[in-house]
Amino acid sequence: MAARIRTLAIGAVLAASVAAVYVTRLQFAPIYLMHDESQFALQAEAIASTGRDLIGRRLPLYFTEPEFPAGRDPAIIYATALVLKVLPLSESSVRLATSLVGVLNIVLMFLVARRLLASDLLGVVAALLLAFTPAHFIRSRLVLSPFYSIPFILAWLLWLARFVDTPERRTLVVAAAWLGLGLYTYLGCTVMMPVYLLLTAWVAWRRSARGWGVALLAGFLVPLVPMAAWSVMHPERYGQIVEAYQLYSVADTVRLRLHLYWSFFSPDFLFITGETSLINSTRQAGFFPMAFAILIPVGIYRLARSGGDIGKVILAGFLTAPLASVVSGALEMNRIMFAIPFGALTAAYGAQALIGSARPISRAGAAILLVSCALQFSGFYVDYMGRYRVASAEWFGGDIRSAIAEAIERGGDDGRIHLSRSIPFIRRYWRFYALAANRRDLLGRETFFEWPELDSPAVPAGAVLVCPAAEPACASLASDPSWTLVRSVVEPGGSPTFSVFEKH
Amino acid sequence: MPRARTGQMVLLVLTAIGGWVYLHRLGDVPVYLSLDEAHFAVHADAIASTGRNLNGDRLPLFINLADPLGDRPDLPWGNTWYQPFLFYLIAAALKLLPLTEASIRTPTAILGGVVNIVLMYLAADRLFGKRRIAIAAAAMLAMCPASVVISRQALDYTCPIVFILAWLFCLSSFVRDPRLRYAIGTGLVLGVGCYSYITSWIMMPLYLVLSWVAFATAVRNPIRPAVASAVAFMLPLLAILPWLWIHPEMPGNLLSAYSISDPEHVSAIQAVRDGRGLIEVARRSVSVYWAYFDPSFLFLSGGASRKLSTGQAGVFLLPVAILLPIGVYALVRRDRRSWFGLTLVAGLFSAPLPATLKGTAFAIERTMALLPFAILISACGLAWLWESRRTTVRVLGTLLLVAQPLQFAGFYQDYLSDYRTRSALGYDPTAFGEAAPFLVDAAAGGESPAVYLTAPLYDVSAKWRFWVTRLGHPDLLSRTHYFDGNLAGLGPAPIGSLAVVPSEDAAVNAAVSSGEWVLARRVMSIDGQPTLAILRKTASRLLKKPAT
Repeated sequence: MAARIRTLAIGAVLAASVAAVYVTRLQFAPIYLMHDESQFALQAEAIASTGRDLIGRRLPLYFTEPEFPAGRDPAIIYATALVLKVLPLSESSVRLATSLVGVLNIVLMFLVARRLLASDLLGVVAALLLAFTPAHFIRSRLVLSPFYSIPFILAWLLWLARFVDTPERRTLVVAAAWLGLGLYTYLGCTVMMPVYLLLTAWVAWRRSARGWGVALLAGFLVPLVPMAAWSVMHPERYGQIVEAYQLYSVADTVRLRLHLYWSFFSPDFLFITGETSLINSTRQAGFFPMAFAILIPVGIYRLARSGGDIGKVILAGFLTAPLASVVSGALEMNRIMFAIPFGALTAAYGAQALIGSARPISRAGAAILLVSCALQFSGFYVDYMGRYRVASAEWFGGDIRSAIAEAIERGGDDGRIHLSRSIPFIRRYWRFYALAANRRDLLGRETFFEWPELDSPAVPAGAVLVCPAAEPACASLASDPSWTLVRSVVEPGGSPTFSVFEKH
Repeated sequence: MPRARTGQMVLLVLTAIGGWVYLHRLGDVPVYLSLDEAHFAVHADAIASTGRNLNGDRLPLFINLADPLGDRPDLPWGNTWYQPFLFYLIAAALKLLPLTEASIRTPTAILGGVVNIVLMYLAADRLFGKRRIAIAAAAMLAMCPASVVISRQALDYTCPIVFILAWLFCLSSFVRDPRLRYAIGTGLVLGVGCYSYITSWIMMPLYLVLSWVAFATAVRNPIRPAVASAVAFMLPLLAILPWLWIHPEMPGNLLSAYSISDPEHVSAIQAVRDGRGLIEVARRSVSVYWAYFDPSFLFLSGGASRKLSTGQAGVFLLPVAILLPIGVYALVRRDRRSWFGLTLVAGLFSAPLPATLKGTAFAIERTMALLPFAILISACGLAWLWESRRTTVRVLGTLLLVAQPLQFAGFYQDYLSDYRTRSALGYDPTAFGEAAPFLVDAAAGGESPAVYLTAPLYDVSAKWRFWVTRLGHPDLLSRTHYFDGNLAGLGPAPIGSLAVVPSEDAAVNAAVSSGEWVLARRVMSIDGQPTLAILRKTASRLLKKPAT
């Protein structure tokens, strides 16, 4: 009982400490809402307010959209909808669910690691290693579905570890169930969860648990019944998935796939600068902290030599992490999220090996590496909230938020709001920011236009127009006497992105 | 028959086969002369016939590629300097053989197909003490696709391998029998090896340091052999001093050339010069270094350039993909504290360093040092499998060895057939070899007062000099002029002059429809692609003025 209370207390302190970093300033950074985020948010808002998705279906399992007919994954949308039941729509509120998932991951990592490494201290170390992982922090602040697979992977590992200690069928069922449920978080899980299921089967076979096959299948398949029903009702979904992820090219070159697999493990990507996209990386830190460049190889050695069956599962999890990316033919951040929990765990094993070494230099090295993680994260955090925020503005679509706010304020109740279709994803952004401003009444009163179609003389006085500042037609409007430039939206870096005009 | 005799017989057969594989159809595959081959050929020919290079330097230590009768471009880095070893090797061959593609390629083919096999056998025999492993190592090296493709070109990329193997032989001889002459041998071989290829200036000193580490494990007092090897290393390098006195600009030219000559790749040196941040430099360098161990590159595709790979096989054959990691494992487990394991592993992982500094990934030509170390480590893997108590493991080792000649046969068949065609334009996008005989024939007949060649057009001047020399008309060089390809600018060209331009229809048609030029020949590459057009001047523009 005392041990349980101690565990709960540690978990609570950990959660609170991490939340102070992960769940704060969500409105501030990332600087804007990315287009995919806005779409997830709109689906969540529709569910929260009407119980139906954007095309009117009641509590759907998958959220079909014109841009993605296969349908968006449900976990993130329903989680965000729960938040929006309580909080008003805003950038920070739509990100809250994901950031809380980030905190949950850290607590789960503590629970997994303390069991595997038989130490509360090492459990905390593993949790902090995960917390300090730049990719984990960055993705916890983005409203994107792949991140939601991580708590299910950690929950699976926790129950698998329990099963290894006490091979009971019901524990195996629950472990498999987490994998089944994980399939609702992200499409890439259709590749990875079966891999983890196979690893579970191998562990169960090694334990010679009675009836393990049935337990495993039941645990995995039962949660998939709604998915199966949906697939029966929407048989076109499979073809849409194949089309969306170009899975027909799987039979393509082995060379490309092998090259992609190898590229994932490139140290410059993992430990130095991460991905090239400023959405997924600040370019000043790698996917993992730099100290992992030593901790992971040490951890791999430790897992291979003395990690037991669960150690081999973790090792296999790390080495297979890029599989979804390899299958789809592109190394994309969404499809390599699976590396985060396994990488952090492997690093924790590396830390354990060094801390537990008889050599003082190894123990000192462990201390230095762990402290360096914290120090690097603090520098990363400062950069994330400062330079990165400004540098990434264009990657996040620019300050369309301000342009729409200006249009809403001026468009008022009389005028009509004209929005240029050459602004990428303008429909989503318009809807999101109109709802966030509590101006549902304006929805439907907007006009999306292409420049050749715009009959400028026919636009009534008082109308407001938003267009990209760099577009020649938009710039030429400034010399049209019937229009007045009322707002030039300028990015923090100094470049103008959107212009707001008013007709008079 | 005694085992030693058997081993020698097998080695003899191996070198005979290797010699045949590397020398067969040498003038025919690759089908065209690449630009670097042309440079090696013409300077070596000059040295062979006059004892001087094209610039008049008598037996130069380094070769300045500039040709006083060539197009003489203004290069951003000044002069281009190449290392001397292969030039003198080719010059020696040309003392016996006529100037042809096959002749200039013969020295490197013999190095790859015969010398390296023998040296690998000797080195591996010393290292492992087992003849069958030594034979296997020699065979595996000979069957490396990268070795075949690159050794069959008159290029110095493979030259360092000779010195690396000779060094390993001397080093292992010293460890076995710590006589000073072996220590001296290591230094001397590495010192001379510095002149084999530009990357050797980085790698040979590194190998010298590894030698000292090996000495420390072999003898109680390693200072004496270390000093002896250092002195022996420096001896061949003393020749640089008077050379630099005469050519002080050379180090600057070399550094600039290797910093900026690849505009699409930023070298680490240039990145630091440009003031790019340390993180960016580190990122690039690590990314490039990592790429050299990409299994796709090493075992499947061998790099993007068709001059260096067929694209149907990697740098190594597929079984090496299994033997190499097993070998690393065996070394780490059994020999990680021994000089043997340390030297081989350090050699393997240091091989991409020069290419990493240059900033180019998958440039196997700059990383040929990978070959001997990877093969020796693979031989370790094979030995480990053969030493296993389990029959299946020993059989696996045998299968992995036997699979190699099977894959090699397919690779070699492709190399001599389809590869010859699909790689043609990779060697020479202009297919100048198809144009040159016609051009020489037409110009040498006396009807062509001048020959105009578009420059640089993939170093056409070096190829032109090769062909006029080969076909016995070096006098044409004095009648050759280089221009920018704009025929309109050649107004005063004498009637009957020949001009070679890229085969772009619009430009050629414009020239022909002007009435001043006629199309003498459309040059097609071996795969039927038009590459060049040879035009003959018919009338002066001045004579076209209508009579009043």
